[in-house]
Amino acid sequence: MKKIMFLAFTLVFGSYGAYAEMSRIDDSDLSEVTGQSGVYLTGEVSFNEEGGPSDNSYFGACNVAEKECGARLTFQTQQDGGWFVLGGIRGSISFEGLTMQIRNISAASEFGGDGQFFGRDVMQIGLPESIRMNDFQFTLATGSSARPDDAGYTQVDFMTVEMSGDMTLQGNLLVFPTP
Amino acid sequence: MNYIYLILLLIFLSCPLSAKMKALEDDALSNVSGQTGFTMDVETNIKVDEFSYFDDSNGIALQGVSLSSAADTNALAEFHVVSDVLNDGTLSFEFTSGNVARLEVEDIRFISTPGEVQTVTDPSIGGFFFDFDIDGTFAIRNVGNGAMGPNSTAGGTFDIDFSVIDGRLGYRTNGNELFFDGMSLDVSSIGTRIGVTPDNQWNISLPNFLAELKVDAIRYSNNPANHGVTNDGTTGLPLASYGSLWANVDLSVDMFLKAGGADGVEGLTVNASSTINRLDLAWGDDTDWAASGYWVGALATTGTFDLVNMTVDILADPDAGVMPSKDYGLGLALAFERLTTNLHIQDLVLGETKSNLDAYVLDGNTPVKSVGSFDINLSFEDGTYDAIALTNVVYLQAGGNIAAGNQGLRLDAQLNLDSSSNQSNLVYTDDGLSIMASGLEAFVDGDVTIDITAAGDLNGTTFYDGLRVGFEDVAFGYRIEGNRIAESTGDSNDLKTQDLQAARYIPGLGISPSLEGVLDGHVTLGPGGNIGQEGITVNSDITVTNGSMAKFLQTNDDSTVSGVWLSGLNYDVHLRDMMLDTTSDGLQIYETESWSKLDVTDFRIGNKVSGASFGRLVIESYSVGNEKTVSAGGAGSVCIGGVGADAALCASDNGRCEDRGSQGLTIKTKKFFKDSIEAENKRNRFTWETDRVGEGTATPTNGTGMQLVFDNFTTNDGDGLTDTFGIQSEYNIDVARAPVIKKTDGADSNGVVGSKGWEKIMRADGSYEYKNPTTLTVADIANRPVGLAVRTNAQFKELDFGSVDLVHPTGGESTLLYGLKLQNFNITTDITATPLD
Repeated sequence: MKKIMFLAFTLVFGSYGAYAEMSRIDDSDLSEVTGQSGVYLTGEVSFNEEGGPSDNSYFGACNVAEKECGARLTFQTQQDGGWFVLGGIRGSISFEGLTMQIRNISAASEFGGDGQFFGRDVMQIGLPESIRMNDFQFTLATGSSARPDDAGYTQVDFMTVEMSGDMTLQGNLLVFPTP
Repeated sequence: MNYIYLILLLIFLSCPLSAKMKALEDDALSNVSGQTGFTMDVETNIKVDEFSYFDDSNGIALQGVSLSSAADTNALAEFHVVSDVLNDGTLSFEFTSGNVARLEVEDIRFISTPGEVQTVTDPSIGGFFFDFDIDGTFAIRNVGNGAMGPNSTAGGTFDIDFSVIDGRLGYRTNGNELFFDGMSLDVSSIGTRIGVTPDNQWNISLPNFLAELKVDAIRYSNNPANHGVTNDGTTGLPLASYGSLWANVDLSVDMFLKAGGADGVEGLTVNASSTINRLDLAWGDDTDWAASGYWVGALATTGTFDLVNMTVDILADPDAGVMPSKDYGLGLALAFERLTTNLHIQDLVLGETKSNLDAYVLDGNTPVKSVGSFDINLSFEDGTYDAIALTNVVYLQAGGNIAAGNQGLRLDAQLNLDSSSNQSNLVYTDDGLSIMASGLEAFVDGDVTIDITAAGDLNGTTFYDGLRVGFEDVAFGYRIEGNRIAESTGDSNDLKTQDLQAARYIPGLGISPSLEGVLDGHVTLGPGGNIGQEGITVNSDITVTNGSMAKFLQTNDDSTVSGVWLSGLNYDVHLRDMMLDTTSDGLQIYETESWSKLDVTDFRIGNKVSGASFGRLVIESYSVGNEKTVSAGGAGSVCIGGVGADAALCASDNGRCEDRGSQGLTIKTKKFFKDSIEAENKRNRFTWETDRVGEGTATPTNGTGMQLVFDNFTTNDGDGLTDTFGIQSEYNIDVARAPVIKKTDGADSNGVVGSKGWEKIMRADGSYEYKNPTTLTVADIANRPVGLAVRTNAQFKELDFGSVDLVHPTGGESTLLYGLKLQNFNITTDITATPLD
């Protein structure tokens, strides 16, 4: 049950991996979609581009070399145990062409004939053709306590990921509940 | 207000026993044209036990009606009247007060027999009083005996011009009162026609009605010993004030009254139409009516009202014999066939001085802190909402909230806002770009009570100081079909032909495209704010049950509605001492304490009733000391996809600079989530429950499934000790242009052809084309599609979750995470939503 719940959690907050399907849909398919009144989204999401609000012995502005300016998420899976750390989160992701609409999948012409057996509404998220990553980065690590400015705090970094440039994402993400 | 004058005139002329003749000074005589009139000095103190109107044996009674001096109700009200016949045959009356008079009605009750004995505990709407020092003229024109005006009225034409100073207008229930203090009113109504039309209707026509109302302070008293006084009789201090009020109006009204209502043989039917040539309305906080203190106002409003066949009857409660517990006796029934209003508010301003408002009214172009323009188009008429037949009727009943005492007002109302042809909608225009909340449908059906209450527990109910608006089993609902967005043409109706776009929840504003449910509870508006002496303090306990809320709503081609729904919604929210003030930044709100619980049985996709469900969501929130500021002006110049303070720096970082203009709306919030107080059901917790007994059916059993619980989340300054930063958010809301890139080759859903990667560019006639990005001109970029742009920045030093648990009613509880902390976050999202083609 824990596993199911965790998968469900990721469905809402994460990658939708358990219940989401990727599908490519062209204009002729779109013309059969009931409803064209969705929305086309343009914009960006950015994290700590110039730093966060904290200013202490650990956190500071991005132009202060000795300070960490990224956001930080940390969690503890065992009581009185160590902490997993996702730190140094910063950068931005901009996009043009993320679409959202409710789609009813019930036609025999959809999904190689499987559509007629599906027969339900889904949230169709049309992925933008291009996503621009602007110095998006984060670090995976473990820490000895919850806060990096705690006395005696130590941290072991596993890896740092940094992404810049354009990324191509095509197709649609279909999100729907399962019984 | 001409009614008041007519009533006064009637009283003066009908009370010769109270009048005293006085000598007229020579200088007064010199102002009289001709010598054919008369002069009266009237000193009077009138008390009438009951003045009643009966309709088919049911009556409404004004009880304890009096006219006296305001300073001493046992003393005389003094008036001076000079009558004259002018050279053109006009009969003129000049009148002026000798002191401040008080016209009062102690109780308004519904009765079955004239003069029947009443006890003080019988239900009453409450009492009203009007203090005035009046000075003006009333002229009856000599227009002959022919038909007058466009309605061919047989009657009289009147020129009315008067000013009231040192006025008060108050409403009193159960010893508590709310009143306009220091009120002045200037009225001019030239060419007023009152008469009878050829089809025997009374016609009251005000073709040139001008008025300006100024209220120094809207005061509240909970001291029964006080009555129509500025200072509290016990402490001597000025009574607490909500602030100042100003209204400036220029309108024309044509009203028709005919005999016979909706029920029985007696009653009244009213038809009226009104054109608002201009209306300025504003609320001021700690103002000197000049450069000190700030105002929130709707300026340069124009529009129309049309009321069709409103019947007026005195009828029994429609719940009589059907639901005795909701039978509140006789009431004044106002039922109408249709009420249509179309209003255009040119500028909604936040945080302006009165000096600037006056300059704006005078010249029309003085810069003001404007959110933008609004068009409000509403049509109340019979119709259906979710197949439920609805009409429009309001019963005004006596008593108010039962626990508050015998005095108060109850409105048993059913109203339906129809939009079968998109005649009801709301339009917001920001820097020349408009968004329409299209096809607005709404209804309300239930009891609303209005009382002036004092803080304390009474008859098992907790009350707060102020004007209490109570809700008792009020079924309500609203929804829109979606948004329509385009460059403004100056006529909001032109938006109706634009593409329909799905609507989504607007963060910051907290507005959903649809909300339905049953409302209970109260909102009590008390005097005084958090800053200065004046302002508004809100205490509220509200529940919404059996509801649904759309977070995303889309009307399909076959007119069905799909969305992302919070179905089976039960919402319980409490506010304590939420204080509103107006400052130079706009509207400032401080919440002393607030807590809420949002319990959603099914989080659905598709149909709000039958769509597949993700399960149950419960969001509990407890916060102390929250702050919010609502300001005019949106995001201004922004850099998308890069960082840069100006266009050049933005471009150098591969960003796209957008100027979203000077108008728009900005909302800044600070929220402080506090540790739970379990004994008071105050906590911060998020719960997601699935796999319940009956999951997937219409009636799953909550509490029987597996729950994922994010428990006791709180904010702190990153040290786990102090909490002065909280979660600080800023929402910038604009209607703005944004690039739209074609995602596939060929024709889109509207048959417009373009290649993948080309940009959508709008044409002047509202159509569009796709253009190769390498060929775009400056003019093309200026004609990108229009969308709703929401820029959100959220910052917090630490958001601390006490634990993340898995809970099952039989399987027990296990802790998934013993701690979860989010630290040093500064997240910005900038999303513009445009129509999908």
